[in-house]
Parts: sequence; structure tokens; C-alpha cells
Amino acid sequence: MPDGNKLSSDHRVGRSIPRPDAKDKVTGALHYVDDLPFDGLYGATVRTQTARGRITGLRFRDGSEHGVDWREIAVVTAKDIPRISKLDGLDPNLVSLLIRDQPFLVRDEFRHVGEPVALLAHPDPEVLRRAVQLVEIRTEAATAQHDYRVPPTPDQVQHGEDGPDANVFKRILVSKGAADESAAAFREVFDNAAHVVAAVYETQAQEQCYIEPNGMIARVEVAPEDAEGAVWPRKPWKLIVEGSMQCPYYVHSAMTSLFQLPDKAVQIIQAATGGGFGGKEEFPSIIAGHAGLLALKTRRPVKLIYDRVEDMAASTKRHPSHTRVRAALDADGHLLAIDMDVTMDGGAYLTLSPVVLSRGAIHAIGPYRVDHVRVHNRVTLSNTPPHGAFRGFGAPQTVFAFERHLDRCARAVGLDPVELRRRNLIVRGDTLAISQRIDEPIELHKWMDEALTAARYEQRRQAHALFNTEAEISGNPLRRGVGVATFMHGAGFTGAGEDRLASEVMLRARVCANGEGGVEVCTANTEIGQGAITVFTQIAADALGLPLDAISIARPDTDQVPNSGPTVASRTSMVVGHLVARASDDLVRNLEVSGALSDDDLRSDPDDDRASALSDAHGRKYRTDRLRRALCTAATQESGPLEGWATYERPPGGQWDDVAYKGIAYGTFAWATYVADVEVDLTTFQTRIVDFVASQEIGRVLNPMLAEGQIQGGVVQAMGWALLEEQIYVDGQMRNPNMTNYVVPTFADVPDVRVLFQESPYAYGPWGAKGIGELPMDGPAPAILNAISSALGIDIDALPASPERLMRAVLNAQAQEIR
Amino acid sequence: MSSIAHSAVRVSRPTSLAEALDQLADAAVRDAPLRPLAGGTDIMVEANHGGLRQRDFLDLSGLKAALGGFTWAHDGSLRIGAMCTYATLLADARSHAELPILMQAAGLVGATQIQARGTFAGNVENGSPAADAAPALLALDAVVHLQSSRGERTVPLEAYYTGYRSTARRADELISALTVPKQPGPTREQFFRKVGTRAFQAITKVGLSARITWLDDAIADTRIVATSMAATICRARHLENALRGLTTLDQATVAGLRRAQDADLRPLDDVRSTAAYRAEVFHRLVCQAIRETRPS
Ligand SMILES: Cc1cc2nc3c(=O)[nH]c(=O)nc-3n(C[C@H](O)[C@H](O)[C@H](O)COP(=O)(O)OP(=O)(O)OC[C@H]3O[C@@H](n4cnc5c(N)ncnc54)[C@H](O)[C@@H]3O)c2cc1C
Repeated sequence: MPDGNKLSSDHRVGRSIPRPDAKDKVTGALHYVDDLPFDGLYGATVRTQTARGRITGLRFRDGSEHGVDWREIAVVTAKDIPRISKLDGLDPNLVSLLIRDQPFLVRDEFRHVGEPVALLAHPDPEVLRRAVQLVEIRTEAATAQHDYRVPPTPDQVQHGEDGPDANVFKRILVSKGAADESAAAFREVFDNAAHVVAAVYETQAQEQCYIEPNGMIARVEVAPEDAEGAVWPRKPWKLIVEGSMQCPYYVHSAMTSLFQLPDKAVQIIQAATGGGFGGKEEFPSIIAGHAGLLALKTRRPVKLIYDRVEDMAASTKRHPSHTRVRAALDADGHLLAIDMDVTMDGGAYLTLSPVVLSRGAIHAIGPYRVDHVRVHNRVTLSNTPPHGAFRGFGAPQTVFAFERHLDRCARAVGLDPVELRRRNLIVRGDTLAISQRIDEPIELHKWMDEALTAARYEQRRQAHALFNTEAEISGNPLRRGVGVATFMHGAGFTGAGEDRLASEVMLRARVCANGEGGVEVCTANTEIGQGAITVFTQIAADALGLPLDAISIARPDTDQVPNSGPTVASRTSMVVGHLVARASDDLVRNLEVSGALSDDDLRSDPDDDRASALSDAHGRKYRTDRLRRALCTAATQESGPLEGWATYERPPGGQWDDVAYKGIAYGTFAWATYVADVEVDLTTFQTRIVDFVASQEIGRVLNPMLAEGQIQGGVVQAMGWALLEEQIYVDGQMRNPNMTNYVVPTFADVPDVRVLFQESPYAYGPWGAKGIGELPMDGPAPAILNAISSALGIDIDALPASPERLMRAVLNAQAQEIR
Repeated sequence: MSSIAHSAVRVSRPTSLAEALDQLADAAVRDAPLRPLAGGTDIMVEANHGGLRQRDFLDLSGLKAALGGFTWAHDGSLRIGAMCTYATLLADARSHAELPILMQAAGLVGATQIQARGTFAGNVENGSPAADAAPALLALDAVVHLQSSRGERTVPLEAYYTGYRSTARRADELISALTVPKQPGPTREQFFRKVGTRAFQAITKVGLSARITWLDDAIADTRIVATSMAATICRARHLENALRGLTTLDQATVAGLRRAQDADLRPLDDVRSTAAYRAEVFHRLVCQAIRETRPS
């Protein structure tokens, strides 16, 4: 694999090549799931309306006045699903994820508002809409737990036994230094510290707000002899689901489990997907199951599309969090010890919460050197829809708490917040809180300075101090502040996660439309707006030395592509992209073995990159025309097109210990410093972000325009979380499930986000690239809140920093001054 | 999936005003009133939320010649036709010069797309307490022209709202126009500020539209119009009285203004904001308006 810092001008990697999928998206030619030609039934979901209880019965009220004839409507309830799976003896109604606790359809007990109880299908969606209203769910109420932070009363226990672990889905302890020795030794560090600073931070839920709401189409293909089969058919039959999703193989395994089918009897196809942000990681399995159940019952294709209200009210959101931080510092502002207590709200079922908690725990102390650490993390149950995957995946919560806390520490010590960070940032060879030694050539101090220079941090800080003093005297209601966050994000699955995934990528020789040879890249990784198609095209083109139009990207369809793992965890470009490059090498090798390429086809002029394949681990470069000819032959050979494969191999280095929570959590991290400049108006308590600099080291910028877009998009999403977005729950029911009242920022609410990249190539990413999908979600909230706190001279410790919250804080501070 | 597409919605599209008024009168007699449909930007929201109360519409899009556009009269008043959109008036330089707060309000309704379709009349008739154009019109003493097959009558906007989302319009009447009289003082005396949930596509959490007339160093007359502070947009009469004669903003007067405001306006907590925020910020907006309208 080529590495080193420079790319020649022939590379497609490192350039802003246009997205192959752009034109169809802009012109509307692309079909999302709801646009696909469809001749079948519509599906709808009947949902619980209270937070916890038991279903005692369903009543289908007479609909004659509303044009609803129940004889024409197919109904599926949990009764249609067997209680014991023939495959594994488990309850197939429970979604197969980390554990099985969440039902596809409520059998009797339910744990949140909006839990699916019954599914209806009919050709007319308007009739369905009315029919849903006519289903009365009779329930017996049980005591709900609405506050995830407090221990449950005995009648609120729904997970685990009554006791300290009641309703706790998972605990994780990160510890280091004195905390590993004893509680007393750890306490002593605090007792002897020059400064001990403590505070509590809170973050709220967040909706992913992909532009396209969730949707699936399911159909069953039944073997002829079974066409008149029982309600639950005998094999052989096949379930085909097409829809909006990030992870086709997640949906696949959920469907084989629900329908008790062999792998081959389930086919999952990704339709064009209008954004995911984690919201289409685990949740689509449930919709696929629902559409599948209706399709199976009616023997017709069934389309189940959520509108915005249903999507917002019923689907997963970011985990709310409550974090207590205590820091011990010496007189010079060096961090001696950190004691942290993180609680996250898992919602009603476990779903992916333990993994979210894990990423939060690992990122909690960021790129700082702290010798003594104790971070206790737990995720607990509350009776709201489950919280799930969302860009950042636990890290934004803990990074917020820690980065806000550093500003508090700086004030206690009497240092500028940047200086405090400078004194504590790690250098090469230092270890993180999880005891991972950072051996890559990092220069965090220099990279931070580049961000500060670009942001004119020092000038702004001084100017704002003067401005605020004058404003106070003159009665000007504006206050200004600048704030910083320095953080990191590990790409790919944590610890041995990538080993367990054992992702595979396949490249296949094909004949292009112009008759020349090319390749098709087959992965299960999905284009969800982030540019996966473009980046895979660039990587394969460079790896093989082929023009861009010789590369095509296969549609993620579990019948066609190998399982290269989910499109999550910032892993697509870095982990799967690396496999694409390696599979390219394998394909070339197979061409050699098959005799399609020989030494005669090698380039003659060793400097003539233009005419040669750039790829090859084994140092052989072929002429492009010869390679294309060979591919053409290999594509049409009798035994089927020639393939090249790559399977994930763990980079050398240490192991991760999932019990001790120590070791190599991630092969590498991306490192960042973000700087926010804000103005708060004390007439309305609204915050305007005046300037924002997002600076990060990401190994290699594969496509500058996409990378910049990825960072800007993430920053804006985080700005919404920081200032505007808030789910309002009353008795477990979301009161603002719409775009009017769940307020995400518009372009007019955000400044031009200025993006800077540093590149320090990572040996196990394609051309050195690291993952960047989630990174930009971590830093903006603390940078912005640090800026606001500095502008107001009041610590704002909870999100969002809404005008209402800022008003309360300012009025409270004034009332205290008067007293 | 909009429910409107799949259920019986009847729409008639008259091509003359007389025809429209006849249809309205007919329907009213049959006690099955027709609902006027202008830009549809309020009606479509209702439809999308599944809450259309009435399903028989009178589409006004064929009446753009009769009801569209705007005219400046000899007496300096502005007549805004019922089908005049925000975008149309926003293109008028004289409106910006003479009625800046109406233009500020119009420029903050939704965003570009909504401004291209939405009408001032629709905003007035919709009767939302969070409306943006209607309060600016109220602060400028606008008048509503109602036309029916029986003739025309005018109702001052100030008397137009009879309760939450209910207006003085009868079932057989159409708003034909709104007129804004020539303003008595300099434009400096007009003040508008919308505090929305975000910069655009925002519903007003609290807003102030005002006209404050100064004589020498004292306030002589005021229109203080509150948005999202009560069941309808409304003038705050106690506050207007308290302002009359005011010269400076010392601590005691500020406290007095707040007391007067509390006698007029008792805002609520809802999903968009809190009563405490609305009251405090409205008070601050009033103080800002006094400072900014004062002659220097
Ligand atoms: C995305 C979005 C954002 C919005 N943002 C804002 C905002 O920021 N501020 C704001 O104030 N509003 C906002 N609105 C609401 C709406 O756009 C305005 O109220 C607009 O002025 C309504 O005008 P229209 O012509 O579309 O009315 P329509 O929807 O056609 O009608 C509204 C009401 O007025 C009645 N009506 C219309 N014309 C007449 C007439 N000539 N005679 C009698 N009755 C009539 C209708 O029957 C209906 O009851 C927004 C709407 C949307 C969809």
C-alpha cells in the first residue's frame, strides 16, 4: 500500500472528485423507498399510548362511519408470532441484538409510549390512518420510571433484580493509577491536591433528523406447493426486504431470527437512503420485521413508511446523560486525578446501550495525561422509547462534561483555558485513561496552536473582555465569548469488535458499458449521504490504476455482497476502504495467477504513473490498457467473473481487555481542536455563533470536499444539540414530534464553519486515512458552552443552552448578587 | 402521506369575485360554509396534521386580478389585496421606506418559499396568536375590508379578533383587502422584534410590534402589540397607558411598566417556551423599543 505524505498528481485519492451519485439526487431521478414502483398494500402500526403496563385486550371499534371495514384490513399481533423459535429455542418476537429484550410486537407487558402492538395492512393509506384510530388498546397500568438518574422503587424494577443493579443495563469502570490500587490511595491524591474542582453536567436526547423518514417494503416469495399454506407457512419461502437503512446485515440477522429462516431465505436490499446518523443502524430491523409480518400474513408486498411525526415519536434518539466530575490539580494546573460518574438514559430496552456507554467511557478523559483515573459509567432504564445509535455514540456526552470541566478547572487555578489544556495534553508515548499508549507521531500542541491561530483566539479573548466591560457600563445587551474544546475520536469498532465482525470485501471483474474492462466493488456498506460511493470509487481507482469510470459500486444487497460490517462507527472509509484497497491487490494477483496478466503487461517506464496501475503490495505495476483487457477477459470467463477478496486483519499492537477496560481500544484516533466565538443577547438570551473553527488531524483527506462537508455537517448537527434541540416528554410521551417544535438549525442559524485538516497518515487506513464521521459531533457543544459561559461569566452546565435556560441562569446569578 | 390526498376534499375555483361571493353566500345559507383557500400555507399544515375541520374549499387562485397586488392611495394609505403575497409587497421600495416594521415582519414569515405563497389576509384570518404580519398591521392601525354579496364593511384589525382563532368575519364574507393608513410620525417610531425558535422557519415565542409617538421628550401615544402572549395577538392597554407621558427609564418606571404588562398579559408555558421567559423578554423588548424610538 502506498503511504508517505505526498500523493502524485495522478491520484484520485486526495482530490475532490464529484460524487457519482450527485446528479440523480439533485435531479430527483433517484428512487428512495417511498418512490419505488409499488403494487401492494400499505402498512400501519398501532402503538401504546401510556408509558408502562400490560395489555388486557384489543378492541376494533366499528368503522362503518369512517369508511373502515375491518374485513378488508389485515391485522397482525404478537399472537401471529410463535413463542419458541425452531432455530434456537428463543422467543423469535424479541429483536436479536446484544440481548433479546425488545419485542417486535407487545405480547402483554409494554414499557414505553409508542410501542408497537398491532400491524394493519390495506390498499388505501387513508383508510389505514383512520383504522389505526379505531383500535382501542385496553391496558392495566404499571408504575413507570421517568427519571433515569434515580434508583427505581421496587414497583418500577423492569431489568435485573431489585437492589443496586435494578434497572441498570450495564456498568463499566475505567480505572488507572491509584484508583487501581485502592479507594484510599485514590482519595489521598485528592486530599493532597492544590485544587479540587467538582461539578455536574447534563445533556439531553437528540433526534437524528435524517431528511428521509424510515421506510421498508417487504415481500415474500413462496414456493408453489406452499401457496395455500397455513398462517405461519411451511418452508420453503423467501423474505425480501428493501428499504432505508445503514446496515443490511443487521436487518438480515434480525429477520432470520424473527422468521426462523436460514440465511439464504432472507434477502435485504438497501434502497437509496436519505441520511441515517445512527438512526438507521438498529431501528430499521423492527420496521423490516413489521413489514415482513404483514407481507407474510397477506402474501402481498407491504410498504411501511413512517411520516415525520411517527418517526420522531417512536424511533431511537441520542442517550441523555448526567455526569459528575471531580478533578484534582496541582498548583500549576496539571491534572493529577479525575473521578467521574457517568449515567446515561438507555430508555425502555437495552438495544445498543452498553456499546454506547463503552464509547462514552473510553472517550471521557480525551487526549489528556492523567495518572489517576476512576470513571464509573452506567446506563439505566427509563420508560421512554429506547435510546440508540447516534453519530458520536456516547462520546459527545462525556466529552461535553470533561471539556466544560476543564474550563472550570482553569478558572480555579487562574489559567487561561487554553493554557490549562496545553499543560495536560498528551505527547507521543503517553498513555490515555484506558492505558492505551499512543505511539503514533502526534503533535497535539502544534495542532491546537494551528486552530487557535486560525480562530484568532488570543485577539478575540482580549477584545471580548474589553467589549463586555464597556457593554456592562453602557447598557449594551450584547456579551461576547470564545471557547475551546480539544478532543479525539477512535474510528472503527472498539477493542476486538472488528475481529468479531471479520469484515469481507469483494471486487469483481466486469465489462463496462464501453466494452472495456473494469471492476465492481462489492461491500455491504451503504451510501447514506456521507459519500461512501465516491470514496470507494477513488480508492479502487487508485489501487488498481484504473480511470474512475471503470469502477462501479454494487448496491448493498445481501444476496450479492459480502458482509463488510455495518455503516457505523466512522469505519467505512478507514476500515472498509482499506479492505477495498487490499481486495484490489488480491484481484490483480488473481489475474496474474490466471495468466491474464504477465510480465509483458508491466509498465515499461517506471516513472510513467499515468500508464500504470498504482496499486500493488508486491511492487508490480501494469499498463492500464493491458489491465483493462485482462479484466475484460476475466469478467467473461466461463467459471464466472474473477474476484478479489480481502478479510479484516487486526493491525499489530496490543490487545483490548474488555474486563479490566484497558488496552488498545482503537487502532488510531483522529485528534481535534474546535474554537467557537459567540455573542449572547441579554434582551432575548439568544446565542449567535459568530465564528467557528474546526481543526482536526485525520490521517489523510481522501476527498477534500466530502471531508469538509462531513465536518461541517457534523458541527452543525452538534450546534443544534448545543443550542436548540430538546425532546419534551410528559409522562413518557414526546410532545414535540415534528419539525416545527423540535427545532434543528437552519443555515441562517449557523456561521460558515471553517475547517482545517492536518494529515499524519495511519498505516492501516487507505492512503493513511482515519475515520471522521463522528468526530465533528464531539467538540462543538463544549466549545460553544465554554464560549457562552465566558461571555456571561456564569457556568452553563446543561444542554441545550436555550434562551430559556440562559435567562434562568442570568436571573439566578443576579438574585444571588443582590442577596 | 398527506391525508388530504386520499379523502374527500371539495374545491371550487371561481373566476370572478361576484361568483366567489355568490358561492360563499349559498354555502352559508345551507350552513355548509366554504373555506377560502389563498396561499394554503396555513391550511396545508392543518391538513398534514390530520386536523382539517372543514373539507369544502373556495380556491381564490382564480381571483388574483381582482384581489392580488397592492395600491398606494392619494391619502398615503396602502391597500393590500387579499391575494397579495409577502414576496409581492417585499419588492415594493415605498413599503420599506414607510412601513418598515411590516416589511421586517413579512421578511421573517417562514422563509423564501412561504413568503412566495403566503398572504397577509391569510395571516390575519388564520388568527394565530403567534402570527407575525398581523401584529405589525395592528400596530400600524390597519383595517380589514370584508366583502359579501350584500356589500362591503370594514372592521378595524383591533376589533377583528373575538377569541382564540375566531374573527369577526361572517361565513358569507371574504376579506377583500387590508388597508394601512398613512402613519402619523417618522418611521423611527416603529419597532418590531420577533423572538422565534430559530432564525427562519420559526414560530414566534414572543414578539413586540409597536409604534411609539414622542412629543418633545415624552411619549405621547403608543400601540403596543404582543405576540404569543395571550389567546390572540393584542394591544396591551395598561402598558400603553403606563407609557403615556413617560420620559426616562429609571428603575421605578421600569418596575411600573412590568406591573402594567402583567395586568395585560398572562402568557403560558407550552412546548416552545415558558411563561416566565415570555414575560421577561417581552418586558425587555418594551424597554428596548422605548430606547430605540426615542428622538435623539
Ligand atoms: C413552513 C411554514 C412556516 C411558516 N412560518 C410563519 C411565520 O414565521 N410567521 C407567520 O406568521 N406565519 C407563518 N406560517 C403560516 C402562514 O404561512 C401564514 O399565516 C400565511 O400568511 C398564511 O397565508 P396563506 O395565504 O397561505 O393562507 P391560507 O392557508 O390559504 O389561509 C389561512 C386562513 O385564512 C383564511 N383565508 C385566506 N384568505 C382569505 C380571505 N381572502 N378571506 C377570508 N379568509 C381567508 C383561510 O380560510 C384560512 O383559514 C408558516 C407556515 C408554514 C407552512
